[in-house]
Amino acid sequence: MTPKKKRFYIIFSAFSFFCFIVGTFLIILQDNILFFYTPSEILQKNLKQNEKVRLGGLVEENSVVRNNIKINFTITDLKKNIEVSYEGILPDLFREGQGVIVNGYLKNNIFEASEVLAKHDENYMPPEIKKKLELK
Amino acid sequence: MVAIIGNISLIFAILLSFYQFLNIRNINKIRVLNPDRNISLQFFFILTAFFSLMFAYVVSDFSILNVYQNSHTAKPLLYKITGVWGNHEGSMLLWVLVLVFFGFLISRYDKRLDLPYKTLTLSFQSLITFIFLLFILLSSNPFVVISPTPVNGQDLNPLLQDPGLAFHPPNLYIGYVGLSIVFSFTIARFYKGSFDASWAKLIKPWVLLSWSFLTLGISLGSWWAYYELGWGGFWFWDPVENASLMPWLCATALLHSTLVLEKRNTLKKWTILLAFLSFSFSLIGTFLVRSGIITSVHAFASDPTRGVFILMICAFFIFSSFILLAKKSGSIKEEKLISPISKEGTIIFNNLLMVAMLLTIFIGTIYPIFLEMFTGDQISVGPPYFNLTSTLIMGPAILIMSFAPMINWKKDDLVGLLSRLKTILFLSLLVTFIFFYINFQGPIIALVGIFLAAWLFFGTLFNFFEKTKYLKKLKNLNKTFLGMIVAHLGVAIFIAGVTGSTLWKVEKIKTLKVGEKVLLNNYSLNFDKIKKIRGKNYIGHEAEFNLYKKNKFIKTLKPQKRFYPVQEFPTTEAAIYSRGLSDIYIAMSEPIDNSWIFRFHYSPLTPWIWIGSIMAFIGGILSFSHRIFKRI
Repeated sequence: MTPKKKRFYIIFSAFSFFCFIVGTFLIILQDNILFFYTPSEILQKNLKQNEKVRLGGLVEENSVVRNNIKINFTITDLKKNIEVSYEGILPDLFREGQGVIVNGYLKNNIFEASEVLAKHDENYMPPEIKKKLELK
Repeated sequence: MVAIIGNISLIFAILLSFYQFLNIRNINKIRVLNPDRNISLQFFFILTAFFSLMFAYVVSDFSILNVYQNSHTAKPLLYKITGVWGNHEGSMLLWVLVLVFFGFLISRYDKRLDLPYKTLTLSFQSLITFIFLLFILLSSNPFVVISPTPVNGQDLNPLLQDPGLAFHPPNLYIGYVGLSIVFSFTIARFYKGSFDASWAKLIKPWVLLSWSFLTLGISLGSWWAYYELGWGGFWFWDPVENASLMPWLCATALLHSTLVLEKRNTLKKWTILLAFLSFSFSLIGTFLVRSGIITSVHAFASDPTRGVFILMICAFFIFSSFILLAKKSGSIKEEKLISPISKEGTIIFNNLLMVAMLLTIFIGTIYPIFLEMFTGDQISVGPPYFNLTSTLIMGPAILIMSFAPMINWKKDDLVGLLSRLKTILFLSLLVTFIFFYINFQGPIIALVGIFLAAWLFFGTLFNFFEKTKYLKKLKNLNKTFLGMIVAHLGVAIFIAGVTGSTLWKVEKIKTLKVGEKVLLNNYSLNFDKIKKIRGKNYIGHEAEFNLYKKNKFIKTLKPQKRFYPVQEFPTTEAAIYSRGLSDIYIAMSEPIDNSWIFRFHYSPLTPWIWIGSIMAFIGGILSFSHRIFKRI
């Protein structure tokens, strides 16, 4: 093989290896995207069975009901409400009347959360919630 | 008064840095002006500004807006000091302090540089300083005064009131910003035009230093998240974490490619590209973190003008450096072709994998931002994406890493190599089998992790024994080689730690009354009492757990739930019992009636994550110290 040819093969194989990796990973990426909705949006969308999504809004006042580590509460965007059920430990900053994001599945109009995230900072509203709430 | 001193110092520093940058014009003159005095003065003024801000924090001078917003008289002294960089303005000042500190180090201690090259490098460093000082003065001045002076401050975010915070940002910044000096070294070299082995020798120690501190800074941050956030995890694939990992990956690639350049005088353009990319990613990291574009504990500010400003800085450096490279690349001659079975071949493989990982993380991190910009859809990319892709990439990287240092430069023979690998393979399989036998509850993939860790560990050790002729030739052992061994062993231990911590973790969430107990693996935890506590600026509850192993008392663990009244902010202080091989972790949640909710973790091998990281840091520093003291 001439050096030129050799070089071509090396570059070609490196490049195709690269494309292969990027391609594979884009497919993996497709499966791991969570869409973010507010309660009004989630009710309009026809979610697929078992489609994991993020739901964000405010925890409605006086909606938190505890039964040991099972917790039920309502997320509102001041227009529509969604009931959420969750099992586990709530983050430190989870509070009624404050912003919250949950990850999970919508089943029979009840949102089964696998994760509850609250904001890190008292003065700070997650921009994704803030923006959507301001639009209303 | 403090504000005046601070502002004047900043103004002096910005003028000096601009003046130093203008010196580039004089580089062709016969007598080049020595930059040492200018650089020292810049360092002096920034240091003055930094310490005046610190002074304002210590004496709680609330006439300064920044102090008012982030401090409180009741805050403990340590957090008054560390609070200086616990906010946007102060942390940018720290950024610039590290920037000029590196310039200072080069001008005073790096005796290997000739005067024109040194002047040029430091002039480019001054340009970076100038631009960042401009940013501070125009949009993030920490010395803004308010009147009338408030009686007390708003306090620092309690999550940040922790020893972990005291050391995480400075170390991380030394890493981040250290890459700036590598960038300046590279840009300045275009004037000379020869990117040869001697140039690789010049930048190598500084790449090593930045890399080491980046490693330390990232692991400190991860350690802090582990015990302070109460989730028991060490890595969350949060965009901010990714922002620090990207320059680290790039610097890792750069570290290894300079080796090829040094020994084989090739991969020149690639090394230049990596040097540019490393600094670009530390700028992009700064942009992601500081612009408020992503939600996180690090996103102090969400002032859009700042975001735009930092984005412009990023664009300026990235585009100008890449245009320079594109224009000049024709004049840079690469020398030799590379055989795949050779040390340089394996290093190229390492580089490809590092860059591939960098790209996948980059895509996962910025894709949501772009999608929202163009379609308005708000999405997030989940940890499974990052976990899967990084495992797929790091797997092969670790496989090669084990024997790569043993291979000869230029060309090695495959058969000979394979026969040397037999012992290593046998030992690693043995270890994997022992793990399987004594303690197996996790998924099969965990065994792969353990195998890889053992494979790397034994491979590195084997190499060490071969080089030292089975410890007979320890005396004239090369420190660079020793540094590599320590760092690679660190990575092996780290991999084992990550495997254990993510795949073997046992989690229990229980509601307990005083007197009840919980069983966790071979341990039993008795909930003994609960009491109220009161700290300097917080109140809260502390639980006491007595930890027993087979009825033998070991230790009392005291997790806390704190509440900081000034910011109306609760925090969780986890109690961790670490015994080298595993952690017992208790985080306290909230009360229900007479009982409390707790989260318990038994996480095997988790301490190894930090042990491995520290070893990698030590290895880097060993190698750095050897290289910087060796004159060319």
